[in-house]
Amino acid sequence: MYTKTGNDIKTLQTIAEAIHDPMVPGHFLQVPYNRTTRHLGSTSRAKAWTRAIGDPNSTIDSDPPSRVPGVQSSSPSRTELEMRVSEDLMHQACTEEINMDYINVVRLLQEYFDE
Amino acid sequence: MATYIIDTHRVRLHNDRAPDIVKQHYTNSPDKFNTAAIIDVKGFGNSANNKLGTSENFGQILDYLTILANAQDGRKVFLGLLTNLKDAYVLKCSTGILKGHSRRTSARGAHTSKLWQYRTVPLSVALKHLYMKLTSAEANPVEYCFSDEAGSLVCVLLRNSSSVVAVFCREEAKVIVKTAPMPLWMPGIEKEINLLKSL
Repeated sequence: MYTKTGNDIKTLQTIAEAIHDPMVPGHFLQVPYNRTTRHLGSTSRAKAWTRAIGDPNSTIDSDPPSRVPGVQSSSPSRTELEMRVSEDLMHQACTEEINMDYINVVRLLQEYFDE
Repeated sequence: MATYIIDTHRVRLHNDRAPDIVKQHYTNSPDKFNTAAIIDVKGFGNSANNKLGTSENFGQILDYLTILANAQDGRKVFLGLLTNLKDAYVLKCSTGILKGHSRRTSARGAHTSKLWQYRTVPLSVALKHLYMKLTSAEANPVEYCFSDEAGSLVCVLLRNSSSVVAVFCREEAKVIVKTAPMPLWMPGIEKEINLLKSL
């Protein structure tokens, strides 16, 4: 007969916790918290944004980089695809979000991001 | 690496939030542990007062990025795109930046985070920006070291600092598989296997 040791019981507890523990932000988290990463309530998103973007660490309205270091320029065929898909996506724009054709938007984005 | 663009505007998947579209890796079943980027699409409205770059819209993206940052321990860069399919903003949140690299840190502890809101640009420019940023490993979800015998990944259920639990499909059956997020913790998993076998 197998006799469980103290370490075995601890191991069993670890297994149980891994399967049953609810996800609690911050419980396991090693991502450091500050004003930009604190978990936010959905009703105060605008306030949270104002606070986060006002943090001295934040940067607002910066120019997108024309190139990302280490990333090679796109091939002509890739550039052609990007232009075509972007234009097709822009044709999907509509005044009301509720009328958005998500199926086509997703299809086009899949084509854009396929590697 | 398999990449999936998934319509999630009717799916409550990120702590009960529903980003419109996610770019997901490793599995076509959306989960916050494998989401590479979130895309939120707005209507452009029919008046000059309809603005894309409002605090409410930016706050929504920040909310999603925060949830991803909390779920994906070890990843450094989180990206979101806010667009009305004409113009777009890219938002970036970097975590785990060592304090001391910047004189303008205000957070407690040894690390801090940084938020970027890039200026509004045509959609084509923003997509290119996002695409380039996502070529970096630090801007993508970590791939966990599950055994090949596990089958095909369905979704990750949860993770903590010492373990990752996921659903796999193997021989038409759903199985629960557990692994360690880092090699350091693998002996612990092996110990658990041995213990379960002995029961």
